[in-house]
Amino acid sequence: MNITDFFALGSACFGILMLGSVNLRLNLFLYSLQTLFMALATINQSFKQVNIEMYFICIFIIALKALFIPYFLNNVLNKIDIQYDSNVMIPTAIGMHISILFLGISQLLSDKIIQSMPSIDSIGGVTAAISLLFTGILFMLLRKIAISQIIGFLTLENGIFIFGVSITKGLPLIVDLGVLLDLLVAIMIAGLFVFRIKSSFEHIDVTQLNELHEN
Amino acid sequence: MISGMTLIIFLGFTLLSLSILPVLSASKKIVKIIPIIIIFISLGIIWQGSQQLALTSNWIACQPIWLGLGPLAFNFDFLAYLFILILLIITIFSSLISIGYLNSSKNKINHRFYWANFVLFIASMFFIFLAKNALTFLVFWEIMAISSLALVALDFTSTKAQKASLIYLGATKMSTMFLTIGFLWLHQLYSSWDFANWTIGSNATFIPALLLAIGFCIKAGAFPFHIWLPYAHPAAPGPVSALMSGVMIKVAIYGIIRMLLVNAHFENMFFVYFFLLLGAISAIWGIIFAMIQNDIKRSLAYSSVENIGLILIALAISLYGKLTGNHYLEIIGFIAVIFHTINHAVFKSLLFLGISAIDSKIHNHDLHYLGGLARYMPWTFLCFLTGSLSICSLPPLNGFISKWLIYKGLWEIICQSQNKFFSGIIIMIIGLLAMVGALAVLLFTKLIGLMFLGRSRSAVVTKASEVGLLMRISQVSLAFLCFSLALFSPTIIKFITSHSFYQLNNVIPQLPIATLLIVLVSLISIIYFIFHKLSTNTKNPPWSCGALQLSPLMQVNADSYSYSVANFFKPILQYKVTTSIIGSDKRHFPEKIESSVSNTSLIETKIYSPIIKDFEIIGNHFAKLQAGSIHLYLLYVFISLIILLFIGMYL
Repeated sequence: MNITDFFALGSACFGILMLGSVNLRLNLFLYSLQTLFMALATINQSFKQVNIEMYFICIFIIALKALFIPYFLNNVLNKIDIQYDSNVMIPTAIGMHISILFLGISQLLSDKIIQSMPSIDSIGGVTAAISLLFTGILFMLLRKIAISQIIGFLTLENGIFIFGVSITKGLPLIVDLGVLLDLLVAIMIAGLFVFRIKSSFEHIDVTQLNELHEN
Repeated sequence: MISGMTLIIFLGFTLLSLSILPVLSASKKIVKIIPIIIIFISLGIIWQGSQQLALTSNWIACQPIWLGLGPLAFNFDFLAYLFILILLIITIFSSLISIGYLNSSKNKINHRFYWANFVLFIASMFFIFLAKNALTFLVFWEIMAISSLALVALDFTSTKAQKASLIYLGATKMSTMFLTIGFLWLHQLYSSWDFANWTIGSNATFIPALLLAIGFCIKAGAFPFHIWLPYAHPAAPGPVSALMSGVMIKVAIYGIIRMLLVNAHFENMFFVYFFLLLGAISAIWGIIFAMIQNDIKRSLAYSSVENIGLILIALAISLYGKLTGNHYLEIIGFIAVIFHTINHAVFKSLLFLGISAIDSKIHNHDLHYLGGLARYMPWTFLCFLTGSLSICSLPPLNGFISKWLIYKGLWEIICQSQNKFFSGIIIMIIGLLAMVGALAVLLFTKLIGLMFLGRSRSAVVTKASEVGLLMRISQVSLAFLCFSLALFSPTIIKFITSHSFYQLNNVIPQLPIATLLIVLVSLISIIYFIFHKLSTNTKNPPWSCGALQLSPLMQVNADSYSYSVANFFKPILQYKVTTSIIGSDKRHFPEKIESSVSNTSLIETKIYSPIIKDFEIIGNHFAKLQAGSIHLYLLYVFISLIILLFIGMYL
C-alpha cells in the first residue's frame, strides 16, 4: 500500500465515521479531516507526477474546503442554535454499517475499472472515491436537517475530486479553481438559505419542507 | 442582373420579415399599411411567377444559412405556382376584408398581433409550396402551424377559443410527428433530404409513405382526423378561417400531390384504396355533420371535410390511372384534384368572407339568431348565394366542372377496369357522391334560407346594414371568379395540362360550358316569364284567424329544417330530440313547450376521448413519482447511480 492509497482510504474512513454520529459539529470536524486527507493524497499524487499546479490546488482546497467552509457552517450552526441531527431515518449504527458494505462494493467496482484502464496506479484512490460518493448520498438520504444535506453534498463532491485525481493527471488549474469557486458560492448560498428557512419556518427539517408543495 | 427566382424568394422573404413590422412599431398607422404591402407583394409574386412558368428553377441559400442537416433550398415549378396562385388570390381578398372585420370586431383583438401572425401565416405557406427539401418543408410547416394556432387563439380569454386551440395544437403536432418520422425514414433510405431524389412506391418505402399520407390527412382534415376543423374554424376570425379552409388544408393536399402522386410510382393498389375510402367516408361524414350544425362556421368547417373527401377521391383516380398505365385517367384525376382545390379555395373563402361580413355587423354566427338578412345586406346575400350554388356544384358555376371531372373519372374506371370488386366499389362511391351532392344542396338551402330569407329572428338583425366598399369588392370579385373559372374552364384545363408534367393536349376532357350556359339562361328566363305573370298580390281575407301577424318563431328553424334527414342518419349522428311540456293541463293548455336537439360526434367520444383519458391515467401514475419529498428524489439519484455504475462495469 502506497501513501496516496493510505490518505485516500483514510478520507473514506472519515466519511464513514461521519455517518456514525448525529453531532453536527463532530460531523463538520470529520468532514474537515476527510478533506485534509484528500488534499494530502492529492499532494502525494502530485509528487509522482511533478505537477506544480497541483500544489496550488491543494493549498486552495485546504484553505477553502477544509478550513473556511467548516468554519462558515459552524457559524451558521451557532446562529440557528442546533446541535444534533437526532431524528435520522434509520439508526446511525446501521447506516454506518451500510456504508461499510458500500465500501466493499466500491472495491469490487474499482477492480473492474482498474482492469479496463491499466494506466491507473492507485486502486485505493478509486475505491475511496466511489465509497465517498456513496457515503455522501447516503448521508443526504438518511439525515433530515438541511445542514446535513450540505455536508453530504460536500462529501460527494470530495469523492468526485479524488476520482478525478486518481484516474487523470490532474485538471488544469483554472478549471479546478472554477469548480472550487462554484462550490464555495453554492455553500454560502445554502448556508444563507438554511438561516432564512430557520427564521421563517422555525425548523430546518427537510422532510417537512414539502408543505410548500403546490396541490 | 438578378434572376426571376431570386426575385420571387426575395419577395417572399420581404413578406416574412413584414411580420416583424407590427411588433416593432407601436403606431397604429403601421397596421393600415400592412394590407397594402401584402397586396403589392402578392401581385408582384404572381406576375414574376407567370414570367418564368416554362422553366423549373432552384434557389439554394448560401452557406451561413444552414438548417443543421441540409440547406435552405427552394424549387419553383408549375405545381408550386398553381398553389401559390391560389394562396395569393385568397390572401389579397381576405386581407382586404380583414381591415373592415378588425375595425368592427366586438372582441378586443390586438391588431398588431393579428397582422404579425397573419403575415407569418401567409409567408410560411408560400415557402412550403416552394420547399425543395424535407427540412425546409418542415421548418415552414411548423411556422404555419404555430402562426395559425396564434390566430385561432386570438380571442384567448374565451374558454371556447382555449379548447379549440388546444385541439388544433394537438392535431397539428400529431401531423408534424408523422411527417417527421416519414421524412427521417426516407432520408435513411435515400440518404438525401431532397424531394427530387425520393422515389416513393417500392415496398421498402411503404411504411414511410403511409406515415406521410396519415400526416397530411391529419392536416387536411380527412375523415378520422377531422375533429380539429369544426373547433378551429368557429374560433378563428372570419378572414383567417377563409385562409385556413381555403388554403391551409390545401397545403396538405399539395404535399400529397408532390410526394405521393408526382414523384411516386406505386406497385400495389393500397394507396388507391386508402385515399378512395378515406375520401368517400370524409365526404359523406362531413356533409352529414355539416347539415345539423347550428353554427354557420361549424357547418362550413364540416363542409370542408366533405370537399377534402372529394379531392382525395380525385387523387385516388389519378393514382389508379398511374398504376394501371392509363394516361387519360391519370390526367383526368390530376386535373380534377387541381381544379377542385382551386374551386374549393375560391368558393369556401367566398362563403367565409360572407360570414365575416355578417359577423362584422351582427357579431353572431348562430342560425337561431339570423334571418331576413337579404333585405339589409343585398350584396352579401348575392355573393353568398353564388358561393352556395357553386359549392352545391350547380352549373354554370365552377363547382360543377370539378365534380363533373370526378364523376367522369369514376365512370372511366368502371368502363375500363377488369377487376369486378374494384368496379363495385367505384359504383358505390358514385352513389355516395350523388347522395353527398344532394345533402350539400340541403345544407346550403338551409343556410341561405335561415340566414337571408324569412323574417329576422332577433332584433340585432334588423339593425344590420350593408358592409363597406372593401368588403363588398372582395366578395364580388370572388363571386365573379366563381363564374369565370367555370366559363373559362377549357382554357384553364389546357393551361394546366400544357405546363405540367402531362404533355398531352389532345385528351383534355371538353365540357360545352358556353352551350350549357346559354341553355340555362334561356331556361331560367322562360321560367321567370311564365311564373312572373302568375304571381299576384295576395289579399288577406277578413277572418284569417290571426295569420296576419306571424311571429318569427313560427318560421322553420335550423333544427326543424334538418330534422327529417338527420333522423335518417340517427345512428351516425347520435341524434336525439327531447321535448318537454310544462303546464297543469299539458294536453290542452300547455304553458311552455321546450324542445332541444343533441348530437355527439362518435369519433370524438368513442375513439379520441378514451385515448386521451388513458393518457391522463398513465400520466397520473407517473406524477406520483414526483411527490415533492427531497429524500425521495435523493433515493432516485442513489438508485440510478448504483444501477448505472453496475451497468457500466458489468455489461
